[in-house]
Amino acid sequence: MDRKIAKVTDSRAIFNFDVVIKELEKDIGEKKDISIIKSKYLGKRGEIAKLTANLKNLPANKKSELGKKINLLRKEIVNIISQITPLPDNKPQSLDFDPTLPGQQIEIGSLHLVTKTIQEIEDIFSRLGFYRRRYPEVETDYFAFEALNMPIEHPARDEWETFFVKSPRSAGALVLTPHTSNGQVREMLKTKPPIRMLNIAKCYRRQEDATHTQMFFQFEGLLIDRDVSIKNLIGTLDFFVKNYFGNNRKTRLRPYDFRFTEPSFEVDINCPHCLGKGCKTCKGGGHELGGAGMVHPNVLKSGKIDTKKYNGFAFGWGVERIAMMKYKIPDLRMIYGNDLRFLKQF
Amino acid sequence: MNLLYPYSWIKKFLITDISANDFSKYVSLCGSSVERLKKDGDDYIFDTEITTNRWDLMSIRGFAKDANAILSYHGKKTSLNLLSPKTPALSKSTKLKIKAILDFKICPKFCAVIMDNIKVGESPAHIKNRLIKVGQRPLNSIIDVTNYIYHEFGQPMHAFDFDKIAKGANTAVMRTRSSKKGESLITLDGQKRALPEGSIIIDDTKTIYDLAGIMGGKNSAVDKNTKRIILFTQIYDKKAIRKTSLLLNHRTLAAQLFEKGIDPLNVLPALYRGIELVKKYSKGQIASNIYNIDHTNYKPRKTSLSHKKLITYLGQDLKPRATVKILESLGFKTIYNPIQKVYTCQVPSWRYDDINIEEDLIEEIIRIIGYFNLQPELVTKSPPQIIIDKRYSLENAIKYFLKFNGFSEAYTYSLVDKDQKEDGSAIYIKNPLTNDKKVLRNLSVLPNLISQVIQPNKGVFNQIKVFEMANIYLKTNKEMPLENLVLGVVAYNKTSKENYFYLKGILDAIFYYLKVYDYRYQESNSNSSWLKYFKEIFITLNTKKGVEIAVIGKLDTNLWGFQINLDTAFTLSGGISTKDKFNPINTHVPVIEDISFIVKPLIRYQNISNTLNSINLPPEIELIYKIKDRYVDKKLKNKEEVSYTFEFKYNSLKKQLSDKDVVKIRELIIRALEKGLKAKMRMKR
Repeated sequence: MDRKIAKVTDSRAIFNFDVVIKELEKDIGEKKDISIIKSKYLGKRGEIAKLTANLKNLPANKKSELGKKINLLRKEIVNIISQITPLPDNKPQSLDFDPTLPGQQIEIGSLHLVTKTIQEIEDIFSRLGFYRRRYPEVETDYFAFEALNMPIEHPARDEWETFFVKSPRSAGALVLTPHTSNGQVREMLKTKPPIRMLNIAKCYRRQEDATHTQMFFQFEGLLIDRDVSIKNLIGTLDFFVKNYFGNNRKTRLRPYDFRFTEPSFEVDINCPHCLGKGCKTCKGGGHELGGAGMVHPNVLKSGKIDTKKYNGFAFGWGVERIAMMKYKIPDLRMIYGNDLRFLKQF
Repeated sequence: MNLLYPYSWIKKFLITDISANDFSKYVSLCGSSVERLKKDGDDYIFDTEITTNRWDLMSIRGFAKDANAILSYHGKKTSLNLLSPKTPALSKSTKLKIKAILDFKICPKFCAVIMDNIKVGESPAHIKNRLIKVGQRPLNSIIDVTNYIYHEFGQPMHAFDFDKIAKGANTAVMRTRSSKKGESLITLDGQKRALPEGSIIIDDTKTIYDLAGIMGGKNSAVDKNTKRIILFTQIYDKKAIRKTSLLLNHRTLAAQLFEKGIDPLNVLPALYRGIELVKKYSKGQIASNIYNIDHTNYKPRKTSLSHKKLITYLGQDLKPRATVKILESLGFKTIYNPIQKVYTCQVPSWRYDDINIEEDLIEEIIRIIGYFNLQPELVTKSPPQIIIDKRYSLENAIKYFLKFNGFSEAYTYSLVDKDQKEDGSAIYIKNPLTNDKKVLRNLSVLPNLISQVIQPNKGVFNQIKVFEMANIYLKTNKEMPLENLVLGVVAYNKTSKENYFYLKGILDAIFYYLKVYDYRYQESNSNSSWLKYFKEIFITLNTKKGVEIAVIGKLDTNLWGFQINLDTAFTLSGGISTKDKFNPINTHVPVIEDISFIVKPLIRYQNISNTLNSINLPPEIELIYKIKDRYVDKKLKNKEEVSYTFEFKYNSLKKQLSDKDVVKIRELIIRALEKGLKAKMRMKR
């Protein structure tokens, strides 16, 4: 209503409450802002205020009666407004509160890629009944080589660029173990078959380049039971490879030679790009993963296992190597480079 | 060892049409790994890795033989054409002689012949070509023949200038012996070499002229003027050759083959072939008897294999007839006994040292069948009844705890440049690769965390929180050194506020998780090795018996850290114990009150908590205390006093405590504090 009408003293025209309600309902229907509506009807210069102001032009008896009616109208308007559900793009109750802002920051650090990989390896093999071991890093020459069918001065030892340890021991040398295979005979002497050992530990070799660091981790599986076949080895390795790399991956064995296994194998995984057909990035459809073989009877004998009853297989692979393959990391030294921007990715 | 095999040379002995690609594929899957296939004009060269036990494959003939067995099994059309060299016609004249004085232990087989009428020239193109393809440089028509025989037969061959040895006489003396200390020889590459004791050498009883099996002497070498030669093939003691070659760091092709193995039945045929080629390309004529002095005592060996074992390894059935066929194709004369179900094989001379046990024969059979033809099968037997070591899950839990508190895990090298404790307990490496990594760390992972992780990352990050869980290594007086697992945690903050209590909170939480409660704090010992690494304020945590389990303090400006000896902590830990049991929930309402008291600054929190812990309470009474405030104001400072407020919660498992009960307990507390710590009580609620 405009001011002109407000000056009319005809109470019926001025105090036409239905018009007010209708106008309110129209405003609501047009989805006008709640605060604007409130201001228009209930505010200092709103409709109720104007009506109340007009009361002073009325005789005393009418004042009281209409005053009460204005009060009722006010209550009704408040009631109607309170039932308006605000639309989503209406301004929220308080302008200071934005529920989409980030929450209180909880700093999350990271585990090293090697730890993560070891956890995955352990998790996958534990499903096949393998249990975790961690055998010594500083090892006797006996468990590192001799017990594995590599007598002293045998050329096969050349293949592992070994660190020798200054030790006062008169009987036998100490080395930094170049492979986790040192765990094999230790385990056999400790546990009676069936054996399903998973030895994951640090190894050391005198080599440093894009694919070698002086210190690295290997994981070694050893399974000893009755009537173990080469198919069991393939099955076990396939199980790991599918669970770690993906369901469309599998392993392939090729002939090789290790002193502590017979037959010995080199294990390939099918190429992720061509899935085994052959392409520029792979060798005959595959990439080398590591070595494996059926445990040599001399090694079983070192472990005091009855070769007439038991046989088994073993495999030893690099932890960093499989992680590099999975995450496409080009240089091994990045893994021990300890750049936080690398570490925090995992 | 990687060797080069030209397909054209192989096809001299292997009659086949299959493509180089297919050849390479089958040989890699069933024999040796062809790492690269190089195209060379019309020809292909296989760059192949040969394992040390298969020295029989380190020759074109040997390689072709094995390939034939593989390819025929897999249905490819191939056949072998191993021309046996003809026995040469005897010399008319036997005026020229070789006097061989042999030590049979070091030279068990000696084959030699003198040839005259030699015209040293250039080898024909096809010989030079083949030599180049296998990586050998053509030199002259005599030396090329020796190298050619080496690659074709896998038999090292040497040619001496007869006149340089005989020195005008008609007899050349060839004495093989072990060298003594201090002897030397100028080899044909012009280098004077001090010969290690025990090297195999050939001399004429006065002058050494051959470092046998490794390299000839300059004084007996064939040159363009040579008119008469001694052509010579042999077998030497493997160990002696290897030892000398390694000590001299002179790894010639000949040495590498002699140290692995030579086919004893191949030595003489190789010589015959050499004679043929010298005749052809250097116009040579035999001028002496052909010497063949054999003390190898070679007798073909027999090995047997049980059919049952073969089937176990194969994991599927295989007809004995098929097995026999495979073995025969590999040169093993095999007979199968169907009653005993055993194969008896005669091992061919070129595998004499590699095939000894059943598993060796199994490998021969199944590799020909092809491992790629076997289907995967998991072991279906029961897994072992093992008690699982819980320490790995504890280690992982601690790592995750640190991760979710914002720490990043690092791995630094176990090898450092010095003894960290400087007390001789460190383990040194005899042959380190680099000088900065020559000792195993025997005290702490913290220095490496600082230098290898904090320092390099300071440029990018203002706040760095890292940890490492790894071993330290200590000498013991037992056989094996001690490998101790430690946890090092370091926090760096460029705009640092005090970080000590934050890190201590982490440390306390870890001990709480491990249920390690029984430790004491100790001020730094002025003799402690830790002083080299911590700048100030540190304490150690020790067990009751004084064994150190942790150290915490300030490492440097803005740099704080601690290290826990996890192995020690695990032994004290109630967390690994299987004796954990449920504690009944107390449904009574605890009575809570604050007590304030004043003590001398000398009294630490630890003293107060020890005193409170030692109060003798009946077993059903629970007393929980928590520090609420530690307060010093000017007034207290002047009197050298500190005010503490502790909140106490009293409860009983048996009943709801009455006021009277509380008074009794309160009295015990006050008495303990007053007596044990000379505390003065302040107001209490």
